[in-house]
Amino acid sequence: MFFMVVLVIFNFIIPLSVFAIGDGNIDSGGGDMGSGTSENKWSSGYDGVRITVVRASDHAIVSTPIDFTNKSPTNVRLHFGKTSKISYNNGITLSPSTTSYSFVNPGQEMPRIVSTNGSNNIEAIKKYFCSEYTIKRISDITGMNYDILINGEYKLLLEPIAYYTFQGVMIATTATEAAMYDEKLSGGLRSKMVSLSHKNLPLAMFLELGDLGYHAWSGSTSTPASNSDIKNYLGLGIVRFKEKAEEPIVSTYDYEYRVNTEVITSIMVGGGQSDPDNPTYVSFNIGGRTYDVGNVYYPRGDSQLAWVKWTTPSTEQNMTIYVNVDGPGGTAKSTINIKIIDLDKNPPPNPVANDRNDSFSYASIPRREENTNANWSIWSPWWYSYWVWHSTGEDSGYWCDHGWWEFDLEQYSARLSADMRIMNDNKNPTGNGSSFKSGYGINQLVNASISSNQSSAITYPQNAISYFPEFCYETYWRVLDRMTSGSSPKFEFKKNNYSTYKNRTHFSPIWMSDGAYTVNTWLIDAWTPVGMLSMNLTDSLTIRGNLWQDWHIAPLKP
Amino acid sequence: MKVFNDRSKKWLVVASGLLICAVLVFMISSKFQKEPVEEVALPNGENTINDVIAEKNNEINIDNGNLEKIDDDTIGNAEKENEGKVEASEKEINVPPIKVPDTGNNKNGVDKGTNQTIQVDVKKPKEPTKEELTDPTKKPDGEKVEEPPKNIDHDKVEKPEEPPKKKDEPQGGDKKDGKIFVPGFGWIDDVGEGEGTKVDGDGDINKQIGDMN
Repeated sequence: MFFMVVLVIFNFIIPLSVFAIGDGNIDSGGGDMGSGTSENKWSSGYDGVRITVVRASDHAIVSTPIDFTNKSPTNVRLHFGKTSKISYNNGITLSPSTTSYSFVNPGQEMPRIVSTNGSNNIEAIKKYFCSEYTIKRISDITGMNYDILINGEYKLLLEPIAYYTFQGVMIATTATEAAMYDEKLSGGLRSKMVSLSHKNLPLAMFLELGDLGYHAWSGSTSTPASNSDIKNYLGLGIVRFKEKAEEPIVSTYDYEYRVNTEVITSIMVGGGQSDPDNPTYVSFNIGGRTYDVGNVYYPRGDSQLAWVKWTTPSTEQNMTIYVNVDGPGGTAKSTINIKIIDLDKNPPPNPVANDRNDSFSYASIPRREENTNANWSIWSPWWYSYWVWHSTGEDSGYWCDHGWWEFDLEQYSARLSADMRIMNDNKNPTGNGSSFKSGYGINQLVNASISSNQSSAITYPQNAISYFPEFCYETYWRVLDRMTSGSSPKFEFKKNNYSTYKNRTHFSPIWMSDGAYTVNTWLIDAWTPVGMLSMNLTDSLTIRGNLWQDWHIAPLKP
Repeated sequence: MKVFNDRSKKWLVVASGLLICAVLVFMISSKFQKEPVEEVALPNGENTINDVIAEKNNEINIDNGNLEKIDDDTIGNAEKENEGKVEASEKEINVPPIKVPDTGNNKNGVDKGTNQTIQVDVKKPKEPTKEELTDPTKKPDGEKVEEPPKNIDHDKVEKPEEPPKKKDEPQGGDKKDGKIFVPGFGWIDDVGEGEGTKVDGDGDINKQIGDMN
């Protein structure tokens, strides 16, 4: 289910002041929608919606996004092209467009998208974007056949847009772009236009149930959101056709880790201002051991992710991490529920020569969670000296520093890459290049690599699990051995107890029919402050014949 | 009585010479003799590796100034046998903390042990000297003061709303040579006037095709 909210409460709590500069320019008392000057302002109604057609099965973008608006914002001088939230979340960086801003004015006007006066317009917005009229216009512009567009294989990703003047420049941003631009400016956008850029624009649309890989928003709907929350949860709506929303991921734990694994656990800290003179300390109590985390800083009104790196125990269990925050900050999450699992309990059984599986049919390779990029930011304080002269006499006095802490928002990222290869086992007498006979063994080599500009905030890839077609990529699997450690580890099968030579091999079943034999390996446990990096890998060999063909019965020579 | 005849004397001298030579040969050769070698068991590869890991842990613990018990799980079974030796050697080691030179680009926090940080330590600038603090011709940060500084009472200092902008600093929206100045990105190409397209056509605005619930 999709849900749109336009917020009211804030405007009721704080008296609304209207400055006379700029049409409809609103300031709720703190430089919110714009500081009431011509440099920073937003006029009500200057909004729009970016529409992207997305394939439901793999979340691929299948159309160039289009911007609908009722206005004519031809004076936009800074925009970031037609880039969707999905593309940004996949690692696209924010970059000014070098072409003029283009937009679409629908004949039937859109309802108000971004709130100013708190009026709730949800039903009108839903009705508009689900209507035959609007879907047909999207079909016309994108060139997608209307019947194909609504056959259930595609969904529409909607993102609210605002057109506003910032620092004297007219700009157009979605909520995601506003958050990324604010990070670029180290909080400069938020400090001038918080109610628009970090409240009414991102909260104009969000999901009530998870879909397209995005989770539902369960946070505050009455206070400005953090850049991280905006990028991950806010400023999006989804129109679907026929099919129900993807089943939401409901879990009773916050993190799932593997045993004996170095991991990272994070929480968001906010409230007041945390700086070196008044620092916030975060303590994580994990299994009776307390980890203190320091140098957690942020400016007033903002927040900062704090994390701890630790190693999970060697046995499966559920754990609770208790979080304590000292100093000016606080956290909304004082307990973190952890599930620790041991995947190395389900290797394939011993294959035998008379195995049969007459009812076997191939299964498609499942889409396991994959995330190859992570981006996080750290508020880095620095002292701004403000020297003032205090006289102590006619020709005497001294300089006194009345400075303060300024903050830069430093950007960090991590990227995971990997490839895998399966090949004939060297004890296979008839294996030939990329083909082999069923019943023989194969070897595997996974090469992984992780890079980051803050190595202390990541862990290297530590686990890889291989799934096989004969088990429909479930039922049984193999946890691979990490052959080399470091930032570029290699993985291979563990030594097979059923192998005569104890080779690192997996035996294909003898009943496997001719054709592609594809192994799926899930590379996991490269942790960052914003979650785990993982990759789905596949490689194939071709089965031609079976092991029985290498044997024949003949009379003994006399 | 003639005890030694010439012949006997001759043999006595030769024999003495041979004896001295023999003693010298023995003494010289003993200098080059090798010490007896006792057979010792060479450590296998696994032990060697585990020792390296243990040393690494020692380093970390020492660096943090907090000797911690080494976690069995991270060391491996083979190392458990050596645990007693390792812990004993920990207590004897007295190595000063290893200081990594600050290159100015280090963005890493501390990610080991129970005292971690998410970024490098931040410190205020060094305190100026007394001479710098009392020099009315320039501020302690080196900025020259052209006129005698104006006195402001300590409790009447107000923080300026915006740090004063430097002269000639471009403002957002400034245009020059086909470019426009925007905050955060500096001078970018002026993209010029935008363009809208009006679209309309058939389709019932009241007929619901999609679902947003």
